[in-house]
Amino acid sequence: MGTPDRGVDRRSFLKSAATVAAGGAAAVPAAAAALQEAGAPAGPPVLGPGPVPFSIRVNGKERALRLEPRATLLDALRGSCGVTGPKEVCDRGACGACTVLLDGAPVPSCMVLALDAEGRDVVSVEGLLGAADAPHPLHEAFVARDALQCGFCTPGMVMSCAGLLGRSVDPSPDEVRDAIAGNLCRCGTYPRVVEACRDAAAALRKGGK
Amino acid sequence: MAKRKTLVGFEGATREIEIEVPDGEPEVWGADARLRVVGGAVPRVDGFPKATGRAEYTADVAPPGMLHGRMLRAPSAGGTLLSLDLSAAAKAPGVKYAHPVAGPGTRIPLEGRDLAFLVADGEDRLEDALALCRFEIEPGPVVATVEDAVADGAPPVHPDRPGNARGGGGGRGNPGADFEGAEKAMRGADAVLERTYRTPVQVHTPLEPHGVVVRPDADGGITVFASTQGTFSVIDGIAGALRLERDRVRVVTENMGGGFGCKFGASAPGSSFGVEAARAAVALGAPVRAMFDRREEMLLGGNRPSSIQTVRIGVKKDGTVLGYTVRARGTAGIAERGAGVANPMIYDLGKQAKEEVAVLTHAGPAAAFRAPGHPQGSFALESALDEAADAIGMDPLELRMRIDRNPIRQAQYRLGAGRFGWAVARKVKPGAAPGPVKRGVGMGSAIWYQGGGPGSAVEVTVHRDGRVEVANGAQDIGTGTRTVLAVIVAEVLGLDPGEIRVRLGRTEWPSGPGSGGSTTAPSLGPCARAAAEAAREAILGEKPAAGPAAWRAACARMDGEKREFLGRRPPQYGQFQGGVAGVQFAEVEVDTETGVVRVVRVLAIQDCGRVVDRLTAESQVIGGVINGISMALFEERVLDRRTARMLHADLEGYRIAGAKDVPDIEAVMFEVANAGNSVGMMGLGEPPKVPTAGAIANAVFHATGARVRELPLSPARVLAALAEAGR
Repeated sequence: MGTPDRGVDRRSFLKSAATVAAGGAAAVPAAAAALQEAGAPAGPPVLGPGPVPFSIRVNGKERALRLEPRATLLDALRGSCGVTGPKEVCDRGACGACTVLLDGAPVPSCMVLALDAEGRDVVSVEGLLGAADAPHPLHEAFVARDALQCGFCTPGMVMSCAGLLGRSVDPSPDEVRDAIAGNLCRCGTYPRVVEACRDAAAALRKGGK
Repeated sequence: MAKRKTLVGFEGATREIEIEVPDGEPEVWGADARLRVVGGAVPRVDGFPKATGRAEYTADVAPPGMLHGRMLRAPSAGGTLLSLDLSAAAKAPGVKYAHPVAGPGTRIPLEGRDLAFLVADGEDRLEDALALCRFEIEPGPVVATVEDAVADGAPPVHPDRPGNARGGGGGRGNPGADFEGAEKAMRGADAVLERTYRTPVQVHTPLEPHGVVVRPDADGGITVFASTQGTFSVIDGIAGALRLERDRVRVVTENMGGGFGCKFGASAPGSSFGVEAARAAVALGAPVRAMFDRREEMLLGGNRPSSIQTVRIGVKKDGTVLGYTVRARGTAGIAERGAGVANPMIYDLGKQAKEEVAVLTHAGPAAAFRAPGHPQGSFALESALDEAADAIGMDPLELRMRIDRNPIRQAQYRLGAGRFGWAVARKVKPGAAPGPVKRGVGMGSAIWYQGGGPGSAVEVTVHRDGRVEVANGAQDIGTGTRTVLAVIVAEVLGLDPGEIRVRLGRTEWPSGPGSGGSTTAPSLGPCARAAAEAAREAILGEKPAAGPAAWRAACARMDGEKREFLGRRPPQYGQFQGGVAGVQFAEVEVDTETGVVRVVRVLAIQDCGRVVDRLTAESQVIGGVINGISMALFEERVLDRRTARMLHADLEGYRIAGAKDVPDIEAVMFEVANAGNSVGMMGLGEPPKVPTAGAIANAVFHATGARVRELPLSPARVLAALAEAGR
């Protein structure tokens, strides 16, 4: 776990990722509230099957959406928000290429309904960029170590590592392997991802970013 | 042509040879070339776009007004289509196009066969419309395995090929295969072994699936954004089908998410979806996107054929191999070709003979897959050599050193044995390590043949402000081609590789190769050098390159806004050694109670001629080894025997190696000056995949004393082999 005396904790890490941590999901989604105001019968609100208006916060920006409840967070990011860093590979949580941070925790965005992300903080690989698009230490370490080849798994790898660095300032090689155990790569970048993640952790400890 | 002298070889073993070089070609960078940036560790020039998620892949392309297309597919293999009714789907909300590509009487030889192509204004509506398509298929019998396909009375996969078998892995038969002669040669052997080795069908599994986005253009042509290993190959399928002039089919591949041999042409090995997407886009006058989903990719995206190889090897007590024969059968699914196994031409095996039979089954067609035919053939060959060494009581490495005439590999054997601690590890006899968890070491050798060739051109454009652009129409599939070209041009012009802008992946730019056979970088590298040398001469004259400031000052004096230089390359020159050489050593840990195999470490020593960029070269070697580990331990396509349905057309069930399956891999680039071209580059993508599975299987034998002759080395197979060996 991060400790303040070493200069990095999850909060400051996420701050470096140009996001603002915010707690919990909203008590009542806006769409549900609208239905209740319209005099819908009491009980759990029924959403859909048509498009439902709601908003999610992606890389610090509020995004108003109108999507069917079946839309996944990955659909919303790629299709509606133009955030194409997260990749669709398996669409069932088996490969990790669509990994984003949801309130700081890495999740496969294909396994989260977009509606369930309402009121929560979503950070994709693009969201790690700092002011004036300054690269994050993870970006720098991936390039320096050549921890990428075709690059299609890379956004997910970077985000699984970002999730790890949010909870550990000095991960061991095995901890990094655990963190990316759900990220498949076909080119064979794993050993260098482990090196890159540890390099980035060291850079963050030095307080570079 | 002019005769020129050049220094070839490797550290500690160089010599001068004379080669014939066409007039006007740059001096070959020989073993004594003093190079400033070539051979260094240069970070990938397109690394930041990829690491930050900004790199645009075909899957990310979204032109305004884009529609979504997808194929309606047969749910299972076998039988004949009786009827197809798209009327309800065509009227569904958002549907723009519903075009049959099969009709009554169409045979259904594989699960997922194309039936109709639909286009709608959103993925969800498209999915809803596909569910409204009505069709009826008269079921028919299927064959899922090689054994069933060649059994008496087996249903033919293709009606005109009863018996389902076709001689010759390449479809050409094996003319001149002299089994009798090989048997005669083996009569003098001290040991003759006959063994059967099996490898399963392996699926390519690129992370980005096959896919295109086709955009009609104002001039009547189209732009095809394609996830392909051959931008120019995409033109082939589409121009003819749509009757478009070839240069009106513009192909763009800015970045692509993995291919490994399965992404050539306009569509995919088992589907015509790309051509149909282009047809739809032209008919609708709107961009159409069609990307495979994962199930389509697993079923139709290509695969490595299976093999059942019966090997006979005859060896004398001194290690001389007198003969080696292989009778191989394998299935490439509905494809009639490509089920062959390569006997990598590494060792002196005496008299050889090979027979290959491609067996048709009701399954997705095979495609070239990273070193086609080689890992299968290598697994059998390296296993058989180890068994022969065991039979004559010789160390397996020593046997190989006695039958390998290649001086590069001889040096690699010595280097590797010392670095890996081979002799110490092999002091323990096979299976003799104490305890239930046993360690063992094994090895195998790599070869590859190609150093690229002519037919491509690279354009170097120099701008008045000193900026340098390099352009070619071929794609960078993730190997680092952009970086390699930047390094070579930077070397010649005295600049930093980061200052060179390399543009790849547009067929409007100069002609380039498809990325097959490990030929892209060695084909393009010498073109880039030739273009850069022409630029240097034109801008700097006789003066040597003297850094960025001098370069910019000279550029400011040039006539016009920019100058373009086109570089080509001749065929390969006479070389020091044909092909590239490699050696791999693996250590495994086998739990003899559970049968679980873990790879502990791998040392890969690999030659690729001249190393242009050490970082990306090492990545290729590490990646090849990991692909080999995955093949050795995990990968196996399983079809239901009665229905030929794939049981795991997904990434949960079809297991590929993950981060926790992969040990530390030491990649040692063994640099060789070979004078094959002006840069000295050779192919690298494929050779590191060749020997890994065999080396791991041999290590498992050393650990346990039990020989597993079928891949993958699953716990069940390891336990069965242990039981058979009485261990």
